[in-house]
Amino acid sequence: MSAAAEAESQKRFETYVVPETEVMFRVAMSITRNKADAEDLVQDTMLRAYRAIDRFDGRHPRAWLLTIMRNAAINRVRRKRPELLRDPDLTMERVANTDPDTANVEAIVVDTVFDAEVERALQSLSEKFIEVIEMVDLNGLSYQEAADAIGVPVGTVMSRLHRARAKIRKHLATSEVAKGRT
Amino acid sequence: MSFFKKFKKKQTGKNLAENAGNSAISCRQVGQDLQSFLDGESTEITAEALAAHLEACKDCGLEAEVYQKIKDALARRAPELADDSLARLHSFGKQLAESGDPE
Repeated sequence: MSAAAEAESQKRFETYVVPETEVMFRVAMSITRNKADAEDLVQDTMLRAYRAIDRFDGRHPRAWLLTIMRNAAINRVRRKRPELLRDPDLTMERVANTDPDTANVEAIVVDTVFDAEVERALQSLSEKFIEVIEMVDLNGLSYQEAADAIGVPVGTVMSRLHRARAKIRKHLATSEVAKGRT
Repeated sequence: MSFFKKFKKKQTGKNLAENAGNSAISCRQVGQDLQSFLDGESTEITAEALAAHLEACKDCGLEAEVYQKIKDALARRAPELADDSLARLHSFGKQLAESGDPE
């Protein structure tokens, strides 16, 4: 590669890839469930992106990168999922450490109860439902970006996501928290 | 300001009252399109019609509020990203951008 072409690749990489580092890391964490593996996956994705950057048309860089990441992840050993339930001690610590002068403690406690119920409902879902919720609700991806990251059609993302939330909604409707609040 | 007026403002930046005439959408349609609307994935026309309906229909409005709370609760599950990992990744990216492929 000529020096000029190399310089152009570097410039395009800086423009299209570097700004997506945090999103890539979030998605990689969802995929690998492990900080070290997530870092490796993002680095692998960056290298692949760099080598392909001269063929990238400049449109939808995030979707392009997530497709690369999915392909990179396919070749990796899928790690066992850790427990989804947030450590209750950490949850209580979050409540205890909140400054009562700047936050409504009661609201936080109520939110914590509501969140725990949502968490319980989430745990009852199958992995394919949890996956789309993580991509859209936790990682903030659009439907199209989630489809690219997971490797399914957009319609499948929509269907799974909407059904997953409907299941959570149904769980809440029969739970104590719903009887008290919603 | 109500929940959906805030939503309406966020989605379209217009005053809800201007769009009251767009509320000709059924509760069944709202049920089908509600989650896409809350995800910001509706077309502007659909979003306006939905927002107008949600403001006028108490049952659909409450349903949307519950789904929004579920979305908010799910979003709060997002883990804090490790600063050291992010710093290393930014550094790796910058290095690629400045020095090119190490191979």
